[in-house]
Amino acid sequence: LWGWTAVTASPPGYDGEVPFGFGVVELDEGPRVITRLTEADPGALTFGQRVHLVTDVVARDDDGNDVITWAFAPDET
Amino acid sequence: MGEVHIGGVGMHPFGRFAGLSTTDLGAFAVRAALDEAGVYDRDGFQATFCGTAYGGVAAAHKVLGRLSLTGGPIVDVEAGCASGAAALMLGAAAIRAGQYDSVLVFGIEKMPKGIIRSSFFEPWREQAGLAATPAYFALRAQRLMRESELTKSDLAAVVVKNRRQGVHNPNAMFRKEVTADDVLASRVVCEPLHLWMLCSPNEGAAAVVLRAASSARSVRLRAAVLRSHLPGNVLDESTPLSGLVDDDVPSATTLAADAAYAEAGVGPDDLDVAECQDTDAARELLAYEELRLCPPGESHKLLADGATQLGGRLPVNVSGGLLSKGEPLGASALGQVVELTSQLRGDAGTRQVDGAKVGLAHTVGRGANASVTILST
Repeated sequence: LWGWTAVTASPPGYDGEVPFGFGVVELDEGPRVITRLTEADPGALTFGQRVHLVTDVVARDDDGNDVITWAFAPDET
Repeated sequence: MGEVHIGGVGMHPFGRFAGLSTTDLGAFAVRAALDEAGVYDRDGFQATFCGTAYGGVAAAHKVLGRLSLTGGPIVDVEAGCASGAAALMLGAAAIRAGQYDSVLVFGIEKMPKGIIRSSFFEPWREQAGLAATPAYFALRAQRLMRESELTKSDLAAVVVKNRRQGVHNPNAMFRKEVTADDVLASRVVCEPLHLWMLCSPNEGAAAVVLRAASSARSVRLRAAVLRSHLPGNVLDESTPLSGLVDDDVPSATTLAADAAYAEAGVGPDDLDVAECQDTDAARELLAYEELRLCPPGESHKLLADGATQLGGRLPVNVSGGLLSKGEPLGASALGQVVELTSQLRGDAGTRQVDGAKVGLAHTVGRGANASVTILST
């Protein structure tokens, strides 16, 4: 985990819940990815802690389909 | 290459004006600038460049149509938060090239309320919650705090400074002083950024008349530089703002600053006054480093020393900055130029920087568009 915050107000075009976690993850191979985080409490996260890729159901669209995106979740310690 | 002079400036205050259209705001600012420059008919300028991001089709044409001043080429320019500076760069270049003797440059905007909605983000990214602009600011602020021992108190101190200075600016939206406690008591938008550490998108207009020849109250435009995105960095949606995913390339602001210093033949030590992009409080501190006003990691010292407040060695955002004025994208860069012109003429009243001779203006935003403009007496 390279950077993290929580989004407390719905950004434009977003129908999911707030607050939600948001951050930057540095992959073992080097590149950094801007991503949702499953943890929405900034105080519960630390720089450099290991996280892993998950899928995240954000909301349901007008046609009743799940809106699914990627996210990162903290590893179990 | 020829000189470029600012022969007149005008501004509509930045704020919220429910009864006024974008055209109304623009006509107000343009009329004021033309009046200062002594231009009263169509022959007084040969071309127009206008910065706007949300103004719509032929926005500048509508303004000039209102004033019965159409007929020459009119070009609307969009470069995110640097839109007005992009228009200025084009106008200045046309004069330097000898294409025109006189050019009108202005910026206009009426921003929607709330978090800025930008077509830069594809719909799927909006749906995923990733079009959260303040979150990107927060991540950059967190990084700056991690790498330079900044604290939230430093961020609050930037707001206190700019709001105190904004009290004296009749063109600012917020003209009331705040305390650090007030700032830290405002709600957290995206940790570590509280509401009052973020500027408000709003409405306004600013205009400048550029000329090849000097006149009685003109100031010199020494450099008008725009840099967009970063070398070797593919422009895609995962990199909406610089400084998060790359360490090994200079920032767009530094690229623009170095080019502007070279073009103007001045360095950071020569500056008397600066206006910089304080979209959020941390952004101003990062600008100190990126503009080379201080060594990397020492922005909080420059702030704590009082160097960047009115009366200090290099006052920054004596206009109150975007934190006091608000940010109408297309107009904000030219609003800075209006402020610096006033400062260099010595008619900035209670917010005057004594003896100001060289000023710098800076914007940066979406697409990593960064501008640096340098003016001198």
